[in-house]
Amino acid sequence: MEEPLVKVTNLKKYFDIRKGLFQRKGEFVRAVDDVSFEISYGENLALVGESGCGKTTTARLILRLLKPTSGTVYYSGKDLFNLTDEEMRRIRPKIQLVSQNPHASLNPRKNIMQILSKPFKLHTDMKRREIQDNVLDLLEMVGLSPPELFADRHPHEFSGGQRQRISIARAIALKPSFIVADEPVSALDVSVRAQVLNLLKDLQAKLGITYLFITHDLAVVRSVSTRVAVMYLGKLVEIAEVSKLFKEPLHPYTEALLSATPIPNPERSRSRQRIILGGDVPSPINPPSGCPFHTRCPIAVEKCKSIEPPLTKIDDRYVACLLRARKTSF
Amino acid sequence: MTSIARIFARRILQAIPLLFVVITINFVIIHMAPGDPTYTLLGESATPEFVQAMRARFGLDQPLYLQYFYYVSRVIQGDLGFSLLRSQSVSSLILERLPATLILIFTAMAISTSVGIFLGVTASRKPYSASDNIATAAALFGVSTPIFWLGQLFLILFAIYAGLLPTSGMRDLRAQFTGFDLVLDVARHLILPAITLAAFHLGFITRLTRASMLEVLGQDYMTTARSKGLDERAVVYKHGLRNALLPVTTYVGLSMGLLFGGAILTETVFSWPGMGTLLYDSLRLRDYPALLGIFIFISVMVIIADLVVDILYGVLDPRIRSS
Amino acid sequence: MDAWFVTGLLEILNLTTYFYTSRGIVRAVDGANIVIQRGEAVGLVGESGSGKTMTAFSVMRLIPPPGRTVSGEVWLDLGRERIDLLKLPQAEMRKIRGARISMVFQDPMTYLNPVMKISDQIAETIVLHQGFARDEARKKGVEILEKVRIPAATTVAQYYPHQLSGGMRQRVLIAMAISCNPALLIADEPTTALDVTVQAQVLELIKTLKRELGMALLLITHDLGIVADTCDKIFVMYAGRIVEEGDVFAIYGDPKHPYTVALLKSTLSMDEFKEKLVTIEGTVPDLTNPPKGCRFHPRCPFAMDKCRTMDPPLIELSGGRKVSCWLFE
Repeated sequence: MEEPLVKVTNLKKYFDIRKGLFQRKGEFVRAVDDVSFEISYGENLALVGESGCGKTTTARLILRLLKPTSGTVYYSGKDLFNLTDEEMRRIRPKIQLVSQNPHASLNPRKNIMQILSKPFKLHTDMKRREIQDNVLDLLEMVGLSPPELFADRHPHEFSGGQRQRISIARAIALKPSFIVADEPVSALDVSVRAQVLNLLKDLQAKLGITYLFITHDLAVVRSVSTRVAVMYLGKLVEIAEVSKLFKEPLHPYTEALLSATPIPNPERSRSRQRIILGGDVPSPINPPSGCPFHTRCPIAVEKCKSIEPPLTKIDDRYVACLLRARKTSF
Repeated sequence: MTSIARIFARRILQAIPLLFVVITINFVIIHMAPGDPTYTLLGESATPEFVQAMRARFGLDQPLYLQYFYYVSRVIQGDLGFSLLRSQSVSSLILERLPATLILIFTAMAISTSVGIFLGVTASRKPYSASDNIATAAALFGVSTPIFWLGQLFLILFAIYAGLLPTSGMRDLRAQFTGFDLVLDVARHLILPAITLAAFHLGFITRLTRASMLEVLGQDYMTTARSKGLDERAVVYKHGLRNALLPVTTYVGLSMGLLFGGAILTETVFSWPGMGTLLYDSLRLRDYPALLGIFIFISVMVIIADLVVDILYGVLDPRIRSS
Repeated sequence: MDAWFVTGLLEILNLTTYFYTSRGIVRAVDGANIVIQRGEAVGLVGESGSGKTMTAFSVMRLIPPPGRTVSGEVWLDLGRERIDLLKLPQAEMRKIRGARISMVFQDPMTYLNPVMKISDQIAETIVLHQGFARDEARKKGVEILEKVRIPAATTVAQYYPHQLSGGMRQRVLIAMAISCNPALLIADEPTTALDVTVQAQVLELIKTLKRELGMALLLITHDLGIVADTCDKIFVMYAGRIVEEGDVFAIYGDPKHPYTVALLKSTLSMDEFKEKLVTIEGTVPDLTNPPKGCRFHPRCPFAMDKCRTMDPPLIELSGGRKVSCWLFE
């Protein structure tokens, strides 16, 4: 069995809540609560969930932007939080981020050439000429052609889709092996989403990149990802291969999520069974006892209130549900 | 406990350490001045025997920490020292002059706040129009003009040339008015100094209100208000102003300190018998005990004003209450 | 039957709204035609810059300066009479807003006044349009909060917006909008800022209220999924114009206008895997200088010479469908 590129083991991130200078509440926001999963080379793992589920925090931990409260993140077999300086310097450019908002992540005061030169300046000792050539190549690669036309201009002169391509260009500048894409198309128009997603897919084929896709949009997941991990209140509730998850979701939360996702087809949309969850997502400060989903779960029984379901492996998928973990898929 | 009471209690608890810091600074000043602190307290003209006696009385031969303790306990009880020059306790000196200054400051605050907010709102409703430009010009004039210059200008124009208003003092000392006539008399004397003092703040509040209103007017909830069918006046004043006034309230509270400073200049120009002139005279006469007592007093006033503003902000903005 | 003779609850005819900016005249809405029947759920679909939000604002006459509705008619059927909203004096229009036609907006956080209690914000409309006294209105407000399925309505009424979750806040916006039983509810991207499961709740609520109150619904969105579920009729908008109109099943099953076709093709669905995602070439036109002729022609794979010079009118097809495209002449 090949080693996974990224391995997350029992990852926890609790945020301290303090009120004022003198009080310490002693309460925590359990943003990520004992999460373990693997990402294999070349795959596109989608991490889905609604706001507050912990997916963004998990991404930040993997990117080493936050330190975990406990648990480990392995990249290529190495513990990311225990690297030597030399190792860190080598690994850093290999892990990149494409984030949601193309406005916020590009410096409005710099032009595209300056923005895209930065990674080269920081991590290589290429001369200016060489950097410029590389930048023009990058622009070509992300479909912004002819590149000379784009290099002199500033981010605000471009559309959302173009800016997102520039973000992607920056991310692939140093030939990364792993990219975390945090809601890469949520802020874009529908017809533009396809362009950017196509680009990401092409780049994966061309450059052999592994993706972690953070999103709440299951429609994107269906056409872009290979595997899906569903999070709820800081915990993983289901991991499965894409087509299996959509055809036969095991966890009740996954079912509700699928049921709530709109389908652009009136017949299909109106004929399916709707599961409307009651109430709001509980607070991650005081998660419910036992199974975190039991307060809103349509099939919850008595034991769900006290026993926390472990993430159980069934064939090639995982489920954290006391009732469903026994069901075997066909 | 209601949330407002909670804010009140919390802010008071936070203000107490601040008070201690102020008192301590005062104490340090007394004892850091070159020479014997007794001379600082008694003035330069005291005789050595007197100094000895006073030293024993003030406990200046005691160790420093004991002196500090006595000092703090005296201040807390309201004893701010004794002015030998004027043969009065500093507290009574201050209390004599305080009402006059308070009348001046509060009138100035009332004028600058009410007129300032009104001008600011008017200016914001039609940005860059004639009314906006006039209001802005007036604001700039108020903010840029030095108080003593403006005060003397008013004096010359309205009191001396036009003879409309009195030139000095708080009331007419010759005619002994009483009751309502007294009130009118004080009011007449109050007009010029209050406007002089208000000028700067009026300008500032106008600009601040204008900016705050402009920002609020662009907010989405204004669209919601209009979509309900409210008329423009209700939208601007009921929904807009309540939000726009938040930063203005903060400024008004914090400006208490500035107003005290401005009051000194204004009172001097108009010979207004308040704490400003007290302070000025004490400086001239080198009445150190008085100066130190006034220092503590003004600091306490500012801390209280700050406290009031904080509480007021909590009343006005419910988002603060929950945090 | 021939659509000309049917009078709807709301008829928007040739609505034109321009913005006079320093960059030029932005033709946000350039001759839009929409008819909404009583109790009907209509979806107005388009991407950003299509003019759909400005259409709604034009109907409500809430266009901010430097915008202005330049021409067109918006007929509202009040039962005994039909009035053109665009010609009403402001005072009369204010009686319509919030009472006969209400609007729900996208972001419940920014569209609620942060320093006013929920009960006051709802009571405001009731006091204004139904003449209740303050206390009466507040009581009624609690009833309406219950109607939008907010638990513990009496307690929530005393809260401020920041104390509620996104889904609850959106329900409050809806409560404000339905408080006076409007004939038409305009919802502009009502669920875009919400989580998926909350979105489902809110849409379900809107559908239920529509049924219970007999309201018509104008749902404005870019999300082709929610209109598929909620609407009876669809109007597709592009660059300020309506390019296609029809019954929801017809439009999704058999789209006619090349833009509609492309839009549906490029829309992702969780229901099916799409290997190669179809995109629409080019970008949305600059509304200060829209293309001559058909506005979609620079991006249209079927563009003919005629399309480059002449603007296609709304052509009627069978089954009440209309397309604005020379292919169907």
